[in-house]
Amino acid sequence: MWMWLILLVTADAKILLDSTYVRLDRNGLRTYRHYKVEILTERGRDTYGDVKVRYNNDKYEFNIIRAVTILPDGREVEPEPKAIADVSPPEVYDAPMYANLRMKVVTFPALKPGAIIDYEYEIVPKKRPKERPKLYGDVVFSEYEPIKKKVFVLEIPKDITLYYNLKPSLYEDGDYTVYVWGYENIRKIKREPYSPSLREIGPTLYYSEFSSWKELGDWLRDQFKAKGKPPQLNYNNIDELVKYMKTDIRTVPISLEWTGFKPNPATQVYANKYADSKDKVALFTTLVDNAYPVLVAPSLFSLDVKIATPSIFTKMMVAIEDEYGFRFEDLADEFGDVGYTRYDGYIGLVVTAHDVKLVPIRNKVRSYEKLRFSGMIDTNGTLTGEFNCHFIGRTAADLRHTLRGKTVAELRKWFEQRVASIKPGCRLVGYEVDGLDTLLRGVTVKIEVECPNYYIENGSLTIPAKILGTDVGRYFQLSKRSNRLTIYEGNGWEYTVTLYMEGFTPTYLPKKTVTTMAFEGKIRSEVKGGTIIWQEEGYIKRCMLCPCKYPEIREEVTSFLLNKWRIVM
Amino acid sequence: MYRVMLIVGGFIIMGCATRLPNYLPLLKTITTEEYSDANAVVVFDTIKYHVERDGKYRSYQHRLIKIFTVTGKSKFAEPVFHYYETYSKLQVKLARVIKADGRIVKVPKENIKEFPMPAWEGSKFFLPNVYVVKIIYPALETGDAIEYIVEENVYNPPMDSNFDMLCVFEEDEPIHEKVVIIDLPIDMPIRWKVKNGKLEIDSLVKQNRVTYVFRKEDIPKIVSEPLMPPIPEIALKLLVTTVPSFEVWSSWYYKLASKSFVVDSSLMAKIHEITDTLESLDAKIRALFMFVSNNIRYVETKLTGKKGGYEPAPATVTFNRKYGVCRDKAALLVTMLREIGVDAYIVLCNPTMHIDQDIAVDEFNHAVVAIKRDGRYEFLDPTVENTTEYLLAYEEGKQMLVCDEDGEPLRTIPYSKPDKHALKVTLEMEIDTSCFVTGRLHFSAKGFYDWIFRNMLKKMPVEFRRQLFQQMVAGLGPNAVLDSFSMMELDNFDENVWFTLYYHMSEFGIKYGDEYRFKLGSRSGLQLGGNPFALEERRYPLFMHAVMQTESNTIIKLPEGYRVKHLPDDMRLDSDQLEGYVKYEVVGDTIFVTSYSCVKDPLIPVEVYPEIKHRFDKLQQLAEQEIVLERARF
Repeated sequence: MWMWLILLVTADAKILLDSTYVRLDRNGLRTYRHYKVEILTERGRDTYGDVKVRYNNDKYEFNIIRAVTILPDGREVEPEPKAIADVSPPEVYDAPMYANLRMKVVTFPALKPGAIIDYEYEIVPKKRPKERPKLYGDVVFSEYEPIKKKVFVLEIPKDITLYYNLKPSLYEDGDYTVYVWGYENIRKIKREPYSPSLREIGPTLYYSEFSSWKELGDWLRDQFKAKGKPPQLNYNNIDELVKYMKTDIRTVPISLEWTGFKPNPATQVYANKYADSKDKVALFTTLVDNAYPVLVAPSLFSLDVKIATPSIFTKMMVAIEDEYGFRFEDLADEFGDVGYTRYDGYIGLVVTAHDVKLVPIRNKVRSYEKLRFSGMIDTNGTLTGEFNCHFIGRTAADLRHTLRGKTVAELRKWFEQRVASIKPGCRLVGYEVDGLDTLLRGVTVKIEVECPNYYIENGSLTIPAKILGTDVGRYFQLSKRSNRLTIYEGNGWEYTVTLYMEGFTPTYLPKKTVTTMAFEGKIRSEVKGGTIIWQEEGYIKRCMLCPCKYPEIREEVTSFLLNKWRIVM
Repeated sequence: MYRVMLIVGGFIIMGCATRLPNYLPLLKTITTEEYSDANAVVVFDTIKYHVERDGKYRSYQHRLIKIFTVTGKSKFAEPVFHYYETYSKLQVKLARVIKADGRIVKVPKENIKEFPMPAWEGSKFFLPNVYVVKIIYPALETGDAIEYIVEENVYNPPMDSNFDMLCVFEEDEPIHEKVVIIDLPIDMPIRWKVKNGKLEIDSLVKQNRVTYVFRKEDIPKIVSEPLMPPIPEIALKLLVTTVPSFEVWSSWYYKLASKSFVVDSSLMAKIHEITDTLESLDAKIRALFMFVSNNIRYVETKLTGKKGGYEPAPATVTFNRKYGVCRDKAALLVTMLREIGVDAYIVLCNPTMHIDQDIAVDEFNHAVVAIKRDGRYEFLDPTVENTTEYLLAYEEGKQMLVCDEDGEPLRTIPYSKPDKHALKVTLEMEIDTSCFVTGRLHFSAKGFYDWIFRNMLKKMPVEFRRQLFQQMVAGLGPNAVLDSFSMMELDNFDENVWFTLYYHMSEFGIKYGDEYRFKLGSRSGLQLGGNPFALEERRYPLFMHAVMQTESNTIIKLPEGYRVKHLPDDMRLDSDQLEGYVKYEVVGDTIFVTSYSCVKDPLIPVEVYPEIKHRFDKLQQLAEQEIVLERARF
């Protein structure tokens, strides 16, 4: 009770009721929802005042049953007609071939703290579908605001066997079975960076008429028959084909949640030269015999969901089978190296010609950064030197995303800004960058710098910080956490600095080691013949860290980061 | 003259889709060797306006773009257009790919999509009658070219019997040729202005119509720079209008908006509720401003009415529904102020850029309020929430058009003094002999800074505040920990924003032998935009957006048994645009560090940038130096 009250004090709104009723019958899938939210603050008014619901305009009709603002004094105010709009959801802008997707927006009037939004609607099929849609989905029973009551009701024909993970209340209604799941007084989930998804925090209901992953896989295999025959496309090797698919077939960034799982014909996709992840995979699998679709659930750190529901998979990749096992490629990632995906460590559902397997995804190419700075400081304290960097995996993908397409003049300005972050007054002498377009060997960057007044007499020397690459500190900004620290993708680096300084003798050289569940790091430094050699190795791990362990690990990591760059002369 | 006829005649031919010229020879002359620094080249971009006497017009845009790189393909593979059905309708007349080998691939109908404007994440614009038209080019590869002709039929011009337009002749890829053609009745007097460069200009009179042609070849691309002025301020542009003066715009908008200045009993009751107990007129004005600013949320729903998008909603409607956009909020405030006897007006402006004052083209995108007292105007922006000031700092220095029945000229409002928008940071540090620090970090903000903090803190979930403050404290050192914080009540607009962070950190600095060295981290803890002087050279001025100042005082109590061995040098920077200094002083066992920076004029011209950069860099270098202590010997 007290926790509820405490969390209420920090809440911007309170969800009084979120009740969804779904019925599947001969006419298709029909949804009814009743949603009531009490506004508690101005921020709650701004966040919850415009209720948006997506639906497919070709297949379904959206009917508003009731939409009112209930004022604190009990009066009700209805939205004016022009406050109810059918607009496009944002994903349609990039994927206009899905222009049948719509979003019904109701802008509720007269909102202020104490007012209640009361909204009931139904989404019904426009006509009876030719085929009964497959029944599956998930419902998350948590939010970033407190929920007084959330209910999900599913009414389906008795002859459909339903699988689910949370125990419902069961009722019978003629030829139908009614499943009811409900929770009350659900505490709000605190927003924190690097937290698990709401789906993962739960409680989350998964339901499906697929009895197993195998049955789901067989169904997907069946959907993939629509891909048809391969187009005329010549390639020399798999790497070249993967690269072609990544860069020459434009990626349409839309989730499987909206497109469904049935691909378009491969010849059409090839002719159009644009596709979403599923169409790219379908096209690829027509060209390569031992290539298969892989379903990935990016919002789940570990796939310990026992219910075979396709709704958790929002992404599709391709798995190519060879004598070593499976090689995974993300064809929709136009920036990542061939052999690299952002899903190393995830579990993927691979649907081969005859089998369905849950397989850990292991990249052929692991994320790594190798940086080297070689330079000298002259008697005036001016630093001159060169960064030589090679990035593969995550950082290479991020760099390509930022830099690809930038012209010579734009690249120069970008590098100037990075160099200025070493120390004010540092200037870019020259740069080279390679690998932005190739996707086959990472990205290589060379940056030549000059920094006047870099070292001032009697001061300590600061090792030039690595101006590109992973910053481990961002994961540990909070001093404590309510949610698990979730790092979905690991990355490693090695940074070596050799700095020649005539006539100076360091009296303090940093040396540290740290080993934790989330991060491992080592710093070594020494002096050899007037040259300082400083080296850091670090590895941020894919992990999910309990809040109880977080403060201790944070302390170790921040202690490692402290003074690691400073050398006392 | 001959060239005009050629262009105009050519355009007519181009309009006939069945007899299009063969562009392959032209495309072959556009090479990566000539345009080595481009992702694509706009081979030609021709826009024609056919204007009628009543102000209605049709426009035709014909573009041919050659693609060089994968990025160019991404950029141009899906051109997008918008129209608002109350005013116009847009159609794609032609869309095709010209392959590198000359084959033509027509864009099928199903690849030309029209859908309502999306509601972006976080957007408050829900506009079902504003449409997006998108062409999805199939089979596009590098080396190919895309071509399209789109026609827009404007059947409801904003100001009847008038025409105006603004066309920027530069973009982020090079343009081989750009032509703007305006064809209108001879008795429609037109004025034009070319800014930031020159255009070839020609005209042709034929059968009571006159055609003007504005042309430019070989236009280099714009290379963006951080903190550069808005593109329309620095790029080559053409402004054209038949509106004789800003006074005409002023009275036009007054006629449109004044119908909205209506009251009813519930609005009157509210006005009385807010103002009756207040004595001074200033207090009443402020109270009404605060009401509209903070109680009417910013949302745009379907645009209705003949001049939807321009015409405000009636004040009574905005009051009852408690939402609206800038023009609605402005109209409501004008209405409420007039009811208490204040001479208030609705005002058109553009807070994002400077409006060209010598030609009356509609460059307005925002509405605010003016009150007239003692022959002078004071401006108030009720769209801004969570503010203690009537205008935000970046609205200063911009142009305002007060709208009244007789028409008013365009005015420029001056910048305030920088100390109106000030941030003061006080850092206290007590260091013990084990390098453990305890202390507090106190912020107090006025003007623009007050708004930044107040608005940010109010708009974020409450649990984010602690996270934000922790990040600010982490600027002192990676292992600094926020112990607690106190802050003022954010809904109290009579008090400037302040908050105090209490922290501790261990292992501060480096002790070696008898010496103890440390650096002071970022005192603000919050990087407001990074280093503005990162670039060695600039092509465009540096625009800091607003005048402002910051002052930082650091008080360091030394550990017992230590004294100061070395302090960084003091430093000063003074120019017409910027001023700053850092000073160090020791008094007993305490070090006092004072730093100050001030933006006096937000626009730093290109020619003075290198010198200011050099001095700013020096100031920053010195600010980052170490403080060195030594064990005191008695």
